[in-house]
Amino acid sequence: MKEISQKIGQKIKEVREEKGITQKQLGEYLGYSAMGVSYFEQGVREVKVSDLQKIASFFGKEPSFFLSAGLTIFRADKNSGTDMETSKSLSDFDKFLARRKQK
Amino acid sequence: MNSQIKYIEKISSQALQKAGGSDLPVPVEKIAGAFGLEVVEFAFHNKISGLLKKEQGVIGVNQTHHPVRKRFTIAHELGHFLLGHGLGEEIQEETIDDSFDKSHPQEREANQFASCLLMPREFVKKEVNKNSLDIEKLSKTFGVSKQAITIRLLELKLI
Repeated sequence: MKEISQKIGQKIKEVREEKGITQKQLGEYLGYSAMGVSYFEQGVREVKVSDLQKIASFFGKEPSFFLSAGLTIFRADKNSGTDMETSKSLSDFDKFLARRKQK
Repeated sequence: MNSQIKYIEKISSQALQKAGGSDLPVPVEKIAGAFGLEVVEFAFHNKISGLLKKEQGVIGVNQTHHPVRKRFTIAHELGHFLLGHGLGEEIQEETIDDSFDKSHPQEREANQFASCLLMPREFVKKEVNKNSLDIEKLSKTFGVSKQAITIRLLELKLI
């Protein structure tokens, strides 16, 4: 279970930092101290389902987002969550395939 | 076992019969090849585990990832292909071998397929009878992560 808690925590940290929110701010929303949030993020303390729901709605995500082992699905055709690096990587692969075909 | 899982078990065992034979670990790349899919390794951004290019008959897999993870990625993408996902569209995504809780149903199905293909029911039962429940050893025999074999054993009610 600890491994899963760590992954969920990692994901929470990632999203929190991405949104520019401090541990203190998230803690205030949830009713915990900054230290409490830090424990969640490190996977030291397990996140209760009710808290996960709150965290998800705070960041405008589905709770399952945090359960997907710290990773998100992206589909280039839907433009959701496709960032610059992954787009570049995908187009590089297309070029690679095209070059390979020519040979 | 619900009907969707039964269906996925059926498709994966057909795929195995087509090209897998009885060798372990399951030769996932060879099976993909039997369906006209070529596995191409590429130095993708770390976030991308693999992708399926249906039109070109290509499964791209991140060459920097661990071999065990690559195997699961290939099986996962083959799952999308054989389960008829993303008809006409390009599927690009991350896959990881321990994401049994993905929100998108097609991702769950593809993971289920990968699990069934890499750890066929009868093979798992046989190995468990032979080696008992040595997770470490079983994970090596099937070329999967310890977490993946554990999930499969739970699913097959062997633990």
